[in-house]
Parts: sequence; C-alpha cells; structure tokens
Amino acid sequence: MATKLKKTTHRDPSTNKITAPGAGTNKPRIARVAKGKRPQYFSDPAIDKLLWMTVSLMEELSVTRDRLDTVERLLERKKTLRRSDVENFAPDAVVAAERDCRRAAFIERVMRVVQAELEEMSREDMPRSSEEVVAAVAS
Amino acid sequence: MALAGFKRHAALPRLNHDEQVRQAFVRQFRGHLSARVMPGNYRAYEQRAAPRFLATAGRPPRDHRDVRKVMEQDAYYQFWSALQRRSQELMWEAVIDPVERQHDALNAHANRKQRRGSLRLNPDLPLPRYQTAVDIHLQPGGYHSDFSADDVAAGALYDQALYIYSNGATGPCNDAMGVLLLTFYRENFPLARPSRLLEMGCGIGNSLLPWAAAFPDCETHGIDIGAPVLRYGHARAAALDATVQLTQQNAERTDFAAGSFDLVVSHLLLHETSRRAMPRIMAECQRLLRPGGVMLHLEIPRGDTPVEQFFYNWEVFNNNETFAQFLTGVDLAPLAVVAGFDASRTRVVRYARPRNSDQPLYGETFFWNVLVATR
Repeated sequence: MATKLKKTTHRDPSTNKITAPGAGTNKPRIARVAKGKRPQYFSDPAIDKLLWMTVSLMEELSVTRDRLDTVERLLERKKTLRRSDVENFAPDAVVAAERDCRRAAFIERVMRVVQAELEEMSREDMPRSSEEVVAAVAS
Repeated sequence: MALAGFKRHAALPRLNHDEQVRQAFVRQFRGHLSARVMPGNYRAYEQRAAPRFLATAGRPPRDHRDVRKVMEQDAYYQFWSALQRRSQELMWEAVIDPVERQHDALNAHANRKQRRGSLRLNPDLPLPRYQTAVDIHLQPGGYHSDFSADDVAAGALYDQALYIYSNGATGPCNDAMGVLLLTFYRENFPLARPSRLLEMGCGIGNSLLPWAAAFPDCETHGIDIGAPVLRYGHARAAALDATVQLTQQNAERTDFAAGSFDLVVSHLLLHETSRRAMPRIMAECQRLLRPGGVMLHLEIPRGDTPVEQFFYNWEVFNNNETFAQFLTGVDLAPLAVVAGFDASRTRVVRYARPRNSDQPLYGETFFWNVLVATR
C-alpha cells in the first residue's frame, strides 16, 4: 500500500510564511558552543568526536525509550492495550522473520565501520594510496 | 512539565515531553559519573599514576601540577574526564532547547511590570574581561550575553542548569547555598537583624531569596554584571513572591554609599573573578559595611592534598573556571586583612553539611569555605 509522504511544515506566526523548522527565520538563535578552547582528551581527536557522538546517542536513545514508555502508559490509561499485552506479546513465525530481518539490517548498519575496513583490505581494485588515485586522474 | 523535584515558577520555560526526559537523562548521567565513575580516579592515581611518577621522577608528586602531568596520561582519567566534559555540554544543550523554543514568550513575561522589587540596568557598564574571555562553566554566552533585545535567556538557562549540575542538591528553588550561608550567619551572629544587605554576583538571585525571606524588613540588594540574568532574576523573584532590589554593577566598585550595609555576602563569586578583582571586591565590601557589619563569602574548597587539589582544578582546565586555579592553597583571610579588615575579626571557616554521593564531588570529604569578617 502506497502512502503519500506528508511534508512537515512550520508556519512562522509573525510572517505567516511556511518555513522549514529553524531555517530562514529571524528568530534569535542562542549560542550552542561555549567560548574557550575545548580540551583534547585522547591521542586522536577523532576519539573525542566519537565519544561526543556516543554520549549524544545514549541521550537520544534514553529519550526515545521514555517516549515509548509514555505512549504505552497512555494507551493503557485509554484502555487501548494493557502493558502486560506488550510484555506477553509472542510474535508468530512471520513477525519473527520480519523482525530478524530488520534486526540484521540494523546490526549491519551499525557495524558497517568494521566491514568498511575489511573491504578496504580485501578488494582487489582498491587503490593502495591517495597518490595512486591522483595519478589516475592527473594524466 | 518540569524536572522531578524542581519547583515550577512562572519565569521558567515549560518543558515538552522530550525536553523533560532529556534533562532527566543528563541529570542521571551526571549522577552516575559522580557516584560510579569519578571515585575510580583516586584508584587510578594510587595504582598507576603515582607509581609512574615516582618511577620517572624519583620522588612522589609534590603538588597538583605534578599530579596533572601523570593523570592526564592515564586512560581511566582521560575517559572519565571526556565524559564529564561532554555531560556539561549536554546539560547546556538540554536547557537551551526549551528556552529557544519559547524565547519571545519568556522575554515578554519577564519584561512585564513586576508586582514587587526593582531592577536598574546600566547598559554602559564595562564588562570585566574575566567574565568575557571565556564562557565560565561552558554556558554559551555566559551571564552577560543578550541573544535578543531585553533578553532573559542567560537567566532561564542558568536556573535550569544549576539544578541539573548539582543533581538537585541546590534544592527545589535552587536556594540551598543561600540557605547554607544564612544558617552559618544565624549560628555565628544569632542576635543580628540586618536592615540592609547586599549580595555580590547574585546572578538570577537564587541564593539571595532565602536572605530576603529570612529578614522580611531588611532592604535586600543584589548586584551582577550580567543584564540578562538580572532581568530574569527580577521576574523570578516576583514569581516566587520575593522582594529584592537588583542593579547591574561590578562588585569591584559599586555606586552604593560607604557604610550603608549591615551585611555583604556572596555565594561562589570569588573564584569566578581575577587576581586583581578579588582584592578590590574585598576592599569594596569593607567600604560598604558600617562598623560592626559582616562580610560573608561562600566558596568551594580547593583541596588539601596534591591529588585533591588536582581534582578540584578539573573545572579550571575542563569547565572554563580559569581563575579558580590561583586559589589553590590560598588563604583568603590575609587578603581580606590587606583590604582593610581587622585580622582578629577575619577568618576562613570550614562549614560542612550532609550530602549525597551522587552529587558532584572532587575530594574525599566535602565542606564549604566561608570567609567571614566583621568590620
């Protein structure tokens, strides 16, 4: 079944113009970065960036889990479902297969960083250096 | 919605679902770092860093600089330190979201005529460099930056962040430091009934309000260099039914008359100033107090041992509390004496109150320092 994608739009109340969220409006923006040099904690600055992202993802996952919890509780309050229905939910074979598929794709996505390194090592046609690539286009 | 345990008042932004649980996450994450990760640093120091220093230097670490040299190479410390820094940044991000979303409404609410108290701003006040050089404790824009006309954002950010930073230890109204110093004052000066008091570096007035409540007949003043925190503080005081007089002034030199106060206090102000400003602030206290008047400055301890001093200085190098490093091992009492206070009536007191393990802690025990002097 094809569902029509609905675009999320925002209307600026002062100009009554439809805008993308946060873009192109004259709304004051509060600074997000503190003035002052950020220390480097690890030998490689990329590790600092990765840890930054990891903690942010922890936060967002926690937020999503809380939101799901809210939805479950509201559905229970409105007698749409019981929370025990969620706990006791037993997927049938088709659902289980679909989930396995989705879970495998998820793991694949997150672990792609490892695959990328393997691929770089094992592909025959992989350029060995950036000089090699420059040579390929410079002549 | 508001963060659990935090008292809602009319000047605060409202939190939507995700904003609320995001702040709850940051608070809990920081609590986890304080209770479960930070203490391991002492173990890393004793087991690995200190022996490594001894092996290379042939002597134990002499001061906090020695400790820093080896600890910054330690993997456990590095990881905790990077997480702690990130948690501080995350805290600001989590409080900026709701303020930005409701920015105009917050400004409009705060800038209405308030039912009580007063606000006097000075747009020509030169901002001291020690406040503008970097954003202290990583608050983007510090206490002083306006992001719009008649802005209150800095105040609304600080009010929420302080509660998260302290993991709720500052109390539902963020007034625990004011209550603490007030308790100290009442224990040490049980008969005192000030008729005019001043808080220097009052920010949003969170520590000033318990003083105003304790002495309802007292004329209660607060000064700060930051206009947005004062605008917010003026609205916040009214929202919490408190009457305070706020003015935008530098504590190094105010426009109040000499001898016009019975009591001058500050809560965690001195370590955010400078080498030149701090003695001037003490001299200004001396000028403002009537004979018999009392000066009280509440400060964070700086550690007794080299390793404790190193951890107290974590905020110096990782949280833009740059000046605090110069207070390591410094006795504030002689500085007050140089500023004109009588040595026999000036002292620094270690003042401890019960606390929980998941509140920020750098030393193995915790106490506050109170610089107390009588004019």
